[in-house]
Amino acid sequence: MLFTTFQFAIFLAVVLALHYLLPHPARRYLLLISSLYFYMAWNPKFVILILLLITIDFFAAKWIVSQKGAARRMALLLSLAANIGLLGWFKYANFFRETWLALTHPGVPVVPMDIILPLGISFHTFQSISYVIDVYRGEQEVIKSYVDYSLFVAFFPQLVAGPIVRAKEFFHDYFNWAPPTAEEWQRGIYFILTGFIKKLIFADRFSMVADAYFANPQAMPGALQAWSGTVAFGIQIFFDFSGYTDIAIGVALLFGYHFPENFRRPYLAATVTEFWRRWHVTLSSWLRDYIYISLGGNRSGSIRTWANLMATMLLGGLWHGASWNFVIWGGFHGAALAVERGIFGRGERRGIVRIPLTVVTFLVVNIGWVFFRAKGLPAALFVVKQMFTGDTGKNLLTGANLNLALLALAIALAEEYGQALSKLAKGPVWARTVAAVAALLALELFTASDLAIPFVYFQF
Amino acid sequence: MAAEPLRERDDLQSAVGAMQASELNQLESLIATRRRELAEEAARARTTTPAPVRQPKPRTLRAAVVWSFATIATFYAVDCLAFHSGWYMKYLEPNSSAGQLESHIFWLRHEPVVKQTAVFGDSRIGEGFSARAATKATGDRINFRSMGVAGSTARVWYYLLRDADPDRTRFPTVVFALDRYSDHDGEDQSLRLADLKYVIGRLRLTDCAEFTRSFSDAETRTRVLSGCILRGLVLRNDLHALLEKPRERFKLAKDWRNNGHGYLDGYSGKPEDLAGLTADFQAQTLSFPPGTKDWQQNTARGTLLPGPSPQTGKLREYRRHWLGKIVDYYAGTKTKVVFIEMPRGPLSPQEFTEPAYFIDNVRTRPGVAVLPVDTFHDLERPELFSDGLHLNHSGRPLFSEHLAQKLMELEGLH
Repeated sequence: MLFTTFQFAIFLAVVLALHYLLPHPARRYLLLISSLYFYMAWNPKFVILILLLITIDFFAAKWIVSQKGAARRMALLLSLAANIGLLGWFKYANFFRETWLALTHPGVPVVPMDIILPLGISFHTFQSISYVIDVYRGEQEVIKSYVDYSLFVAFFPQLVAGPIVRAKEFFHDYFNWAPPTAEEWQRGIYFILTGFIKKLIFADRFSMVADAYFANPQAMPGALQAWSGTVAFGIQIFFDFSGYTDIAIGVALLFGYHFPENFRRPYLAATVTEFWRRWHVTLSSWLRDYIYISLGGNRSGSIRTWANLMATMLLGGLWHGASWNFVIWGGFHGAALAVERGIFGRGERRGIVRIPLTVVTFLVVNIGWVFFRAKGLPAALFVVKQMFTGDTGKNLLTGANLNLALLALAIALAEEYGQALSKLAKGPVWARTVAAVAALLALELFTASDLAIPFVYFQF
Repeated sequence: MAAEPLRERDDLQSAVGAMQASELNQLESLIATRRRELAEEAARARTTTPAPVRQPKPRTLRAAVVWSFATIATFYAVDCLAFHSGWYMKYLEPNSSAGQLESHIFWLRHEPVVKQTAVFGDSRIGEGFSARAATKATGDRINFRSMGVAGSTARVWYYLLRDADPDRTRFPTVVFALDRYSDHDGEDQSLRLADLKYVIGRLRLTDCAEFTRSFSDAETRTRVLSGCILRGLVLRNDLHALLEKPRERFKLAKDWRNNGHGYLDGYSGKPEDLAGLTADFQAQTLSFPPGTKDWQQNTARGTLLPGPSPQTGKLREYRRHWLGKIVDYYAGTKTKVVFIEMPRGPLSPQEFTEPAYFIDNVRTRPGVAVLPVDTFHDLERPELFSDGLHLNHSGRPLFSEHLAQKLMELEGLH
């Protein structure tokens, strides 16, 4: 059930109405049942998988707090093994098998195993793992109710593609639940409208260029084709993913839950390090807290720090997808982070120097996107080669694309340096109403496609 | 007293010391924002008299929900002003699906009311029927009007007719040109989402339920219903084209409103023909004369050698519903409803075996006439067709005169 479909609008309206009509104790059951229904609308049988993981992690956490010493560690390992094992099977079994067979039987064609990737598995397993580790570290109280814990994992706004919500964030709202204030409700509506605009007007329009180019880049040689096709994808994936999370944040707010911010105008970053503080923040902070810091972080000298950065980003790349392209994408970012740390240290770039650095960072990040988007390594290498050695070629971005990109840049700058949107959200009621009506009209009149195009991050 | 702030400072320092880089950045940004706010407040305090402090009224969730509905209502009011008031319909691209329909309605509403025989159909009527030639053939005893709209179907004709003749008195006779009388299933017309684009300016909110139900799959129904309620969803491509060249569009739309009917009336048909076309129906092959274009060949193959298609009775149901509604619309009035079968193609194709259920049932109803199936078979000649479907500039006057003569006979005017 895509957020952008009529079906979801009906689902949301019904669940929302019931949520506020039912007495408070019944609401958690309503939210859990509707979340499982939401998941089953994609493929009913995989609800068993998510319930299995919920059950394992729920009891593992209880075991951790009731035991001491090795038993605690055993419970943690059991939980991690279940989560990583199932994630590994569904997501990486074919990848590892193909790699192994390519090494041991080179040249022999490999028939992939028929494994369907369960929707959102990468997101809900990370959410579950963080809960169990936090309980193990003593940073999170164990959740006593199975229903409460199930709702934390399966809550439908974030179930499929995040943001990755930590247990302490979710349960803070859950155990101190209060209906959203009028301001929060309106903010929720703004998030939803913004998300729809990002997805339907911006992302889907840029996807037309990116999809056409990456379907067969060899058919469109030329440097400008390579850069414009890649930049189109870079813009598409930002609007697509941040649009999704905006809708998720907005929907959660309507129910009285506050999800963390996931994007902070990442293409205004002046370094790759800063980019990762602005891009998919809940994933990068997850990787920092549960991998980078667990590996030792920056506590053991420069070389170890660089190695930790690289390992974290390689795993982050692999998290996105089971292919060497994603590993290279992660490694590319890991290398960029390490190089930056070597050159600039940890300091933030300020002043006028930010302008050229922002342009350079945008281009570097876009080179990375080639590996993320291209079908296979040869195609990715072809695109990168075209970027730097191809003939001039022609720009694939249309006038409409360029106008939208400039509009987006203007809005991002206004928000970054003037908090324009935040001020509007706090402005007089007529201004907010005009903004909402304008957003609805824009959605009606400027949606790029009549078809519901799936979100890019659904595949992860 | 002084120890307290110092302890807080120590706490702050240790808290800051424990922060990660991203948290430090957030903190810096918050500090910068707060500094700006304090500076602005200080500036305001220097220049203005402090306003009395007013506590904002606590706003409840109920108020927010009311605001949400009010916002949706405001949005819909703006949408209705633009797209339901008829304002935008005046500036549609004249050759678009909706533009063709709206042009017919505009001309009818802005011309002097004259009793006319209206001939409805798709592009076969648009290309093959000349109202001027037909009127002349009757010695002006019948005044014809062509209501041919390229790509239209019975569902579209119903909504066009309803607004073209709201009092049911304008047309003494309405003629409906069917490609075949046989209810042979080809394309499933109930699935034609394009119909929404034709009738978008004609649908009332009260039509949405029936119009939506007439589409047979759930996804299409969803799109039809949302388009029926929010016309901008259907008209947005037209709007984008208008925004690209607004001046040209306004000029074109105005010219078409003022002169388009005259242009159509004076149209003489396409010059191309298919003279020399032969068919071997046994071998399912066509031989085209040299120089025949792809578009001519493709339409000829589609008409003369249609592939097998499952016979499910969908066309029968579709016609029973929509042509039935047209017949019902004029039931009990003085208007006569006439059905004709168009010349089927540049050669006489093989007969469909599927019976003409609808035509056979409707021919006995009062006020309905059905011309014999072979009335225009003598026009099925390649030199009279520009392609596989449409009569050309030679076929157009012949068909128009032939139809006029038959309607004269029907009216007893000979």
